[in-house]
Amino acid sequence: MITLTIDGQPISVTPGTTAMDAALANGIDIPRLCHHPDLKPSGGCRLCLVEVDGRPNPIPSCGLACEPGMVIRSQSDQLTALRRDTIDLFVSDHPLDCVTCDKAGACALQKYAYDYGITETSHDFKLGRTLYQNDNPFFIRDHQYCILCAKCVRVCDEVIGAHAIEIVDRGFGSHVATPFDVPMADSNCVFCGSCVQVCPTAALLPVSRLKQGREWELEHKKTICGYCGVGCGIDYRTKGNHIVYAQGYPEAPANGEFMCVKGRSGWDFAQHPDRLTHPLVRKDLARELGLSAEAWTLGPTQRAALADFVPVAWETALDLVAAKLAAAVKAAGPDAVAGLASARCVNEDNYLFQKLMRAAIGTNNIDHCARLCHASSVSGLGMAFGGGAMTNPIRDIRDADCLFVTGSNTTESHPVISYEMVRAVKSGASLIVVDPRQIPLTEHATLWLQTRPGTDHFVFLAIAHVILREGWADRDFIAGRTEGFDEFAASVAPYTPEVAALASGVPADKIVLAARMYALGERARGASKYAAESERGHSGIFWAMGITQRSEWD
Amino acid sequence: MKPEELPILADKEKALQASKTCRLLYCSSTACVASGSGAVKDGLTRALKDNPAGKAAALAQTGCMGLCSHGPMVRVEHADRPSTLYEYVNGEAAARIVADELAGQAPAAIAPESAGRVLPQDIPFFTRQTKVVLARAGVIDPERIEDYIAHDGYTALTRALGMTPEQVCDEIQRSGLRGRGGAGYPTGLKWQHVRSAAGDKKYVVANGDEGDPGAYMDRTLMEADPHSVLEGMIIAAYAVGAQQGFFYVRAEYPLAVKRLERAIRMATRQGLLGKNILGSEFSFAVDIRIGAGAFVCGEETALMASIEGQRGLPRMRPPYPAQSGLWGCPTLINNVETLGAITAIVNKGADWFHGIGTEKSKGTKIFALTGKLNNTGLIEVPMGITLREIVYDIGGGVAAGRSFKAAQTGGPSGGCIPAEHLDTPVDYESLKALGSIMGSGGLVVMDDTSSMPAVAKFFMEFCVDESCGKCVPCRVGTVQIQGILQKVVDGKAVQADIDRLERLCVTVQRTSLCGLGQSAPNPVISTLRYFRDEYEQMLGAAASARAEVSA
Repeated sequence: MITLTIDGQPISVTPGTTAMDAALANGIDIPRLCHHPDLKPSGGCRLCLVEVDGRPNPIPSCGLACEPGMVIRSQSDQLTALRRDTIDLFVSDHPLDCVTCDKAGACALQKYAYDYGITETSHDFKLGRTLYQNDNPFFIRDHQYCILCAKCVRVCDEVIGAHAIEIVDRGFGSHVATPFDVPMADSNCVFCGSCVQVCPTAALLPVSRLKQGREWELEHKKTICGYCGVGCGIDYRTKGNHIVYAQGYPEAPANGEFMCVKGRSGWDFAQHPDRLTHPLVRKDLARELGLSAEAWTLGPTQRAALADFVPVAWETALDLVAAKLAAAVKAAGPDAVAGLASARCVNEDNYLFQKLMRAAIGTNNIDHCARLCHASSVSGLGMAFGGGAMTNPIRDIRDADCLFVTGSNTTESHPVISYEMVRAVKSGASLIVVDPRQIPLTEHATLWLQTRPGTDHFVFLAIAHVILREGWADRDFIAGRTEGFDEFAASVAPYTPEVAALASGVPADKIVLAARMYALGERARGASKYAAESERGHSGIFWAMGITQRSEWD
Repeated sequence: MKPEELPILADKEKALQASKTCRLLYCSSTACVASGSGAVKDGLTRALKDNPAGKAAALAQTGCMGLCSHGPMVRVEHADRPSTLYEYVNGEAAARIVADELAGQAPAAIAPESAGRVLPQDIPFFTRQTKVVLARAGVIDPERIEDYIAHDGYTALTRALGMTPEQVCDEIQRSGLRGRGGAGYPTGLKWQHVRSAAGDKKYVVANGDEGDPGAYMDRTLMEADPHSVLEGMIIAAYAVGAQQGFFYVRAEYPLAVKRLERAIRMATRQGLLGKNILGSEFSFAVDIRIGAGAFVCGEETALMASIEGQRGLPRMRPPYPAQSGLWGCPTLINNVETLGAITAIVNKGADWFHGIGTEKSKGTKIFALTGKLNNTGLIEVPMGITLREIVYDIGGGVAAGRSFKAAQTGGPSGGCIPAEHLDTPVDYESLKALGSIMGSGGLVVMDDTSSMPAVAKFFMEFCVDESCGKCVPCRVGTVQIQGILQKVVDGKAVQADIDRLERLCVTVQRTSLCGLGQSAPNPVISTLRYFRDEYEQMLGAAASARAEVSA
């Protein structure tokens, strides 16, 4: 730990911490427009300048590494004057349409103009960019509001790994664009909306948010995304009982501020007029039981269903289902009933459902859609590690030294996990991909072992073979935690890299290289976060359906 | 090649050159090519072919001979008598020169204004210069490594390889050499930093992205003596422990690129580059990266981004390239001219170099002397020479009988120095004290017809065009400064605009991210400092009157 002083306050930080991070962690707010905690410092906005004793010129705190004994001031007359001048320059190139702007109340430039008392520019108003682009259903790009902080470009590169946009041209005329300014849909864009999330102004806005009210009129409804197993936190901004748009929030443990296209934009079903919002009973049954129709407001598809169904009250419907289930149990015993639960429902609902089946109905005929995809991993992980789930929190991935990905098209199936992988690779981790297909992750891979379909296990066996042969295995670790290891070692003995190469088509030297990188946790570059505590880097294995869905081993 | 083979190669080339009755050298640098040295070459070739004595003479191209405004230039060397220098040569004059020289007679008397007249070599333009870095420029054929070797080429490398890397760094540090790209950082110190930085993989980069308007020192050096820069780079790589080097040269310099490519190829073939250089343990490879025409890519962090294949944007320092440069590895970035000075220092010793120049600025500096002077071209002068000597002795005074108004040094990052400071010694500190900078070596002389606000506007337009746009003071500030200068030039500015201009200049200077923005206001600030009356005279009279009423 090193100690320094910011605004008279003694502060202790770990070496390598920036002055900005040290200040923010200690409740000292430094103005900033291009800084984002998840992105590398850029230094373009010039608002976070601070004074450092012994340095002639103000220095941007976002790129200033703390040194022992440093004396930093984040506020002074000089800094206030320079910041006012800088904001003055920003607003000479940014319309002050705050009275009608959708971003008002959430706009960082507006906040600082307010803080520093800038009501209008003292310069001649000159707009560098005027393009308005609405070429996709998810977000608009209104370049006149862009302040070129490049947070969108950086998040797309450093976190998402899509590289869909870059700043083109230079100087006053520079603007953010796709390559050759093709429409977003024709670019590498995955529409995760992370650019919109980090945009400090109204340059990037969700289409669903346009003219839907002022920021302070919207409520926050935090929940968990129901799409895949990553479990991203979502903050739905709502007005009345209506979702206006979805955003991430920094405290969400799985995803922070970042989401994928599904989480950020796939919520329109929730308020779709066709959504089934009340119980329907088949017409013939309703007539037979003498049920009366309830007056519901129906959507077009539901109205079409009225040819066959009658809308009834919830009480009526529940009574009917209970009576029918009870009759079935009475007539044929509890095992005549079976329940199938869904991964799209929350854990609590699934728990209650099996309780209903087991305790109320009295049957063990209860299953879950995850049987198809997750049963083999639950039993496998249970046997190997004592628990049928991921061994580590998602946030550990970004600090890994070597990532071994197989049987997972992470970018498409669990995009937010792939963001963590991209971040690890961008900070120097090595990435080994074993996959017959050129999945998007191969673009970031240090080593891509392209197996013939159905032969990846040869590569795995050969990697184990090489690790044992070369003495890279951690024998103490193995001795303390496994049983039957000698049998395992004997079983991989025949699988030399050459044998695996013949079977899988992956060159033997690549298999040996992968074995070394994984076993020793070798990074592509840079120092390991764990350098102080262990000689080897930390490796992680990441697999999904491509492994669990294997039906046979040759 | 082994070190002992080098003198054998040198003697062979010397013997070959001595076997000729005379050597006809024509300048093939970009400036002379532009003024017609292609036709001169054809004329010389044809005349030699047609002349029975032609076979015994040698024809060779050279790099820049210096007085570019008098080109194309031809020099004829004889073993037994002083050489003759011809200026303004064209194809017909070439034939006459061949006839006269091969006949062994003095150049025929011709009308004073005609093409191909003799230029005396004892004029101050030549005698007041001290050629260290440009010693071989205009003397050797830049496309023949043999010619370079015959002129002590690669002897410095041999000597350096016999020293320890630490000794080489010490030698450079003791010489007092400072970076010739403009900032003047002590070169030896920079080498030490890279040498002591942790990491097995290190890089050396030669910055040849010369971009100041009117400046062409680096281009000329690369065109005239590519091997000397290459040799300097190899020595640097040995001293800092680098395995890979890059020449970063702008695409507008095709001839320099061609000659560097050839030099790298030839040096590699001779074992002076590549694996186990001169039979030693030291291995080093060099590649060329061509810049795509962005001024900002001359800034070292932007340059590295460009080499890495990224958009050429500067980044914050620290970390400095010496700690974390190309692909995160320690990287030495030196200007081409800095590297060009290395061989002389290694060969002649640090003390010799230290003996040239002023207390804090050692050695010589190359300037591209342009503007309203009688003699314009490329000059190399000892540090500490006065501006007056450069302008009136070397430059031959202001052209067309006009009077001197200002000298602009350092290009768009520099400032204008007025007549009252003509006796200032030219070194890093003195120029800075005057509100200008040494810069890379552009030196533009303006006469009394130049309007200083217009000069400031010219340089600001350049910065507006070349700002990368990453930070707001440079991206927006330069545009606003340019707008005010336009108002001044149009006679529409009022006093308040000048006040705003000064304040804005200080903001841009103090808050910009890289050297481009930090120095962009210099031409405005220095012209305001020395020529404020010109700004005030241009204020719109009517506009000022209105301002007074409203005040």
